[in-house]
Amino acid sequence: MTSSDRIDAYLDELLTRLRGPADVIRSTLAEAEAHLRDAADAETARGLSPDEAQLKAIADFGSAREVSMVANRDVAALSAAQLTAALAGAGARMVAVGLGAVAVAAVAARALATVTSTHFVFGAPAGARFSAAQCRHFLDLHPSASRCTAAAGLENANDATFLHLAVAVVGLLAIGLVLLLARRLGPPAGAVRTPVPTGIVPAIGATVFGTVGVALIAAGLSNAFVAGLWGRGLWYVEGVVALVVATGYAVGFGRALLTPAA
Amino acid sequence: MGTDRIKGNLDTLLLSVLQGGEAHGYEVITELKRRSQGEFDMPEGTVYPSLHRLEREGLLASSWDSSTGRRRRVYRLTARGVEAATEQRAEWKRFSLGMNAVLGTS
Repeated sequence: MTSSDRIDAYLDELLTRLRGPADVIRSTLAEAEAHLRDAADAETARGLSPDEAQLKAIADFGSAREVSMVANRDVAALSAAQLTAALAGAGARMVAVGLGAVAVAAVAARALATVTSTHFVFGAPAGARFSAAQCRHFLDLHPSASRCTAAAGLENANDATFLHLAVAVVGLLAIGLVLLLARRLGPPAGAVRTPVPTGIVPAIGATVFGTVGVALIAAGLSNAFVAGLWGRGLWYVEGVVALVVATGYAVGFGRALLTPAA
Repeated sequence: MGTDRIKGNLDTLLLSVLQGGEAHGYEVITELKRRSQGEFDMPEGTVYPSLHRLEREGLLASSWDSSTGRRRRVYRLTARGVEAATEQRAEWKRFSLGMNAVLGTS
């Protein structure tokens, strides 16, 4: 075995043992080679034969097993941390999409009320019972309404629109702030990135928004009445918006399945 | 014992060596060995992941240099790295004063 082969053979063994992204492995090997050759040069200058110098340099560097174990542990921890961060980021973006849908639903519900009626979109179901105090409150706010249920519908139109838009705006601002902070505190550009496995985000999005959409349509069909939440048309609009978003995610999922992995 | 202590304080030692100026991995490790007067006897190759982690944490920056014919990755302290090195040095000083006082070795 010629002396130059010892470092090459060591690097070959190290290559078979290193795990992680190709660019990390490549730079680890390049760095190891520079170190080993510098060390061997230094040993040769101290009087060792070239072969002995390489053996000494390799012995001081550590066995390929030891070195790769430490390097692989580091890469594994990094990948796990980056995957967690990537999933959290994807989750935050999905919540942002949901909040956007809430805002769209609020506007669409108002539009639907103008072409149908405030009662259809925001009115309480026939069986809804309000306390005398609630009725007084609704009728005070809407003196033009003849009955308590009509006043409740008008008030629900205002409240639902305001609440939907407020939740969307405050939520989007909060998420924007969190994403901005994460970007500033996150790894510097050029760091190894572990993307969320292809198709997972659209699959989760299609499932979550699809389920919510179906539940909201069902609430509309049954004209569900929950304290603070009612209005057949509102349920329908929310359900349709959720299903549109779910369809968008489903299309994304289909594309991810059809596109070969990058 | 020595190796464990070195391992536990490797970040501080690496930052401290790089306070002397930018250096590639081999130089950092050689300087570490020289200054530790033989206490440093970890496999040299296991130091690199620590350098990489310090870079990810923004305390070091690196670039490849091939001006001497051999391609080497050169590390230097970032502004945050300089701060961290100064802070860790002060912390170590407080700790060692306390240890010396207790052990009666000061």
